[in-house]
Amino acid sequence: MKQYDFDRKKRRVMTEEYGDEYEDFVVLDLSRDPKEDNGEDTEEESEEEYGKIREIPRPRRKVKPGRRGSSFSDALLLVFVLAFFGFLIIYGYNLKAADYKIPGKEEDMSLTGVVANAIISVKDGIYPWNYREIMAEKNALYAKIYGTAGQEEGSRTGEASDGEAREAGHVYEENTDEPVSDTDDTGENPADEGNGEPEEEGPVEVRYMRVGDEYFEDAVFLGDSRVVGLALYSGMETCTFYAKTSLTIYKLMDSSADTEPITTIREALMTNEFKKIYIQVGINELGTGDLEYFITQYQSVIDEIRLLQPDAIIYINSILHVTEARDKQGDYINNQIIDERNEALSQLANDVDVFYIDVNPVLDDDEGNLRQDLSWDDVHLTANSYPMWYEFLKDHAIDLVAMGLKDPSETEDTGEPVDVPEDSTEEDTEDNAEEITEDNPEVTDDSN
Amino acid sequence: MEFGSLEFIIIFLPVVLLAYHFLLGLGRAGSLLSKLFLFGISVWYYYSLGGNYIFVLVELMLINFIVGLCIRFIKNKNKPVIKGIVLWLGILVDIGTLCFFRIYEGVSPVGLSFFAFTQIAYIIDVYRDDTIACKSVVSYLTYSMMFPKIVQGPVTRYENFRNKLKGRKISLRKFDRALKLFILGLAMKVIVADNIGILWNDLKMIGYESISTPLAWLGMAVYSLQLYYDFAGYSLMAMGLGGMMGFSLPVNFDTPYASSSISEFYRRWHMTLGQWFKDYIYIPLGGNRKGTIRTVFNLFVVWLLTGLWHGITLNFIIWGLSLFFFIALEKLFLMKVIRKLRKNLLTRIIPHLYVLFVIPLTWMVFAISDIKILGVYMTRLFPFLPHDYTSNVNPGDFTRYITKYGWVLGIAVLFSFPKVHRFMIVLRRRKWSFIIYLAMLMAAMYFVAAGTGNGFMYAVF
Repeated sequence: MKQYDFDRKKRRVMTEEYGDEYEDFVVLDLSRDPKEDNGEDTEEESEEEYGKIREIPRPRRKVKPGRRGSSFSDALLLVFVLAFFGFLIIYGYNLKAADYKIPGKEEDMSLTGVVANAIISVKDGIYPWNYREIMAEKNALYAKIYGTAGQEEGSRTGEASDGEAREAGHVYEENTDEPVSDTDDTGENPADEGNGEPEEEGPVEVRYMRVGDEYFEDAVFLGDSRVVGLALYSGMETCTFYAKTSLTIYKLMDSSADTEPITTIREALMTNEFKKIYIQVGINELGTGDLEYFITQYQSVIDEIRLLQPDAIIYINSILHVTEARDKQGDYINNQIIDERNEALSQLANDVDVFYIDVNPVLDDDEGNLRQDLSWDDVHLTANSYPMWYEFLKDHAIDLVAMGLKDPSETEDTGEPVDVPEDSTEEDTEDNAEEITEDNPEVTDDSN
Repeated sequence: MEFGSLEFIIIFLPVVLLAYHFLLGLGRAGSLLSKLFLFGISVWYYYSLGGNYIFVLVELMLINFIVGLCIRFIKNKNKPVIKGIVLWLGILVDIGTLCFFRIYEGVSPVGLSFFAFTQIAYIIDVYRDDTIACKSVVSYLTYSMMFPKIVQGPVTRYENFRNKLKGRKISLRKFDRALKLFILGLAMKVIVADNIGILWNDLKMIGYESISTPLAWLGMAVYSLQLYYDFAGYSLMAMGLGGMMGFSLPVNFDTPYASSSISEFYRRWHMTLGQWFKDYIYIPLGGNRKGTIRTVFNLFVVWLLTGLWHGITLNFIIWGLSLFFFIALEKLFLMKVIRKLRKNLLTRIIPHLYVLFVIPLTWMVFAISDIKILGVYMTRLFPFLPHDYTSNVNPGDFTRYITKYGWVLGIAVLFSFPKVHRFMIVLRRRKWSFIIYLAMLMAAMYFVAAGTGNGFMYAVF
């Protein structure tokens, strides 16, 4: 007996039992009902293997078979689905047309991109009934920032940070003659120097000090999923974290956080005061927008933070590298692009109140990729690895006193200067003329 | 461009269905034209996913087609030995191709495993008179390549398609039911599987040595659910797609987590594969008709091969054999115990707990191919086991993940119940149910657009 005769019988039985919704359900194995794996006979089990139709118990309530033939109601779903698609496409194109225009940043979007954009915009509160107003607002805002269409934003970055540094009234001493070399002896990997070069003045040497946990009590760390990991696994108990998975610089100020119950970061920065603000974003922006746009947005976020937190110093963290395996995948996430962006980020620092620190040397292998043993998914650090980042941060607190940017009485933050083996954190040292050769026995008497 | 992508749903599917039905409606040539179109578009679809490997598949198909015809031709002349030789040549080519890519290339053409098994099923069925050999190349090519099943199965039998290939009539009602099935599958994959998949990815990212024990157990449950919703969702989508074009694809899942024994579980999980092994390996070897020892041996062969079908790394072999262990145990005596427990209202739940404990553990072996890392995970599940790595556990991790993903988990558990699943199936016929399915589609498309972008998990097999 062909086993597919069972097919028709089973189909009939299933139809009777469960309604004609099952009439198109093909079940290949018809020799046994899996649930009714024979409650009674154990010896005659072998018979089941070979295709006897088993009695399927009648259900208590029989489902009435449906009417034959199609009717109007069967077309409803199809009609509505097609209407929905059509609507999405039309709305999507309208939305894109109304979208705030950044001069020189027009993107070509495919049909799916347009639709995806329309759908995702719901997350930002943009709906078909309010998109015109929202887009008009954004257009006005961007017209203000970027001027008329076609202008390049180019040189804003350097000038703005300088201007603000002057505004903030920081004392800016030119320690350019200091024979200070910034080699870090505390670890295997030399710390990045963060030599910001504001246009007018000469190069400034950044001074680091090693601090303890208490340094971070008035610090906040803003960032993406890597910072979420930092919050959870680094042991940085004293620091505040406003971090969210998939955060980008574009949405940072308006974003909530996975790590704290805040409404938006902007609001949180308005209501709380911090002395140090760390930022690490960048990996999620690799796919959208080019370098200039990214830097421009980053600068404007820094500007806004500066307004909200005038007394704070800002630490721009480099974008963490990805592993060699991820780097080699050959798509838009690779270390070359990351290095480009980091280079540009380092230019945003003015070494007065905006600094750039680069943790990558601590975490990288010899080729400049993230060490494979520190990451399982090639992008994020493992829980065990985050403490290394914390160590790095503790080693790279900016020594504002040593740089002459702050009076010792103005700040409670103290720490071990990172380059000098002896302790020289007396408060009366204004111009710490520390020579940085490793063992200079005369250093200790150099205070005045 | 997999099923769960915007391109597929908004562009590919409407265009293809429109063209297909238009061609189908063109009088007597309709069946042929629509088949040609379906074949062509399936080739293009496969090419977009699997590239040049399409040639491998087409060659395999043609070889099997010829083998089928030969067997039929020889049958007319009644020479059983040659018939057998031809059959075995065909099987060897199919298996050989599969092994070649698995072992020597490392990279396997997308869907080859499912494809090869479908081909072998065909020639064996022709040989055993369970079906009639296909005489039309177009029909056979269409049957083998059709895009609903080319990527991840189900493993079909030609007999289910034979009549449909000749001519199809798709009423609006059937189309509507199939569309709803597709939406249900899409929702399962995109809303449930992809979202809980994020949790599983997170665990990997943290590093298993740094997850707390409760989180390890949660991760195990999550992976088990993700695997089910991903694959079962895909299978429903395949059924829906086939149904919208007039074909009946077989059921692949029957709410397996409601099973009360491991044997039953594998009659309800990836059903078409289990039936393939039963019909083409287990029963030809003798099934359970040759005594206990032989039965155990047959089970051993079946499960070793099942493990290897999924992958040739050690963990898949361990996985297959651990299932063999339990199923053999059940065959020998455990099943009697389970039946007794099932009869009593108080103890009825015990077999279910047994399944829900064992199966997820076997999925861990399935999921983690590195034995050492698997060991780490086991020590997280069972912290009394000795271990020597450093952990950096965040004590609140379980709470955090439960609050974040509780809603998906709730849905996932709810729809694992047979009654709930059945409700959704039968719901399709209700007039107003289109609202529910429309809402499901909209929700699904939101998640597609937001794109966690997890490819189909079984597409690597």
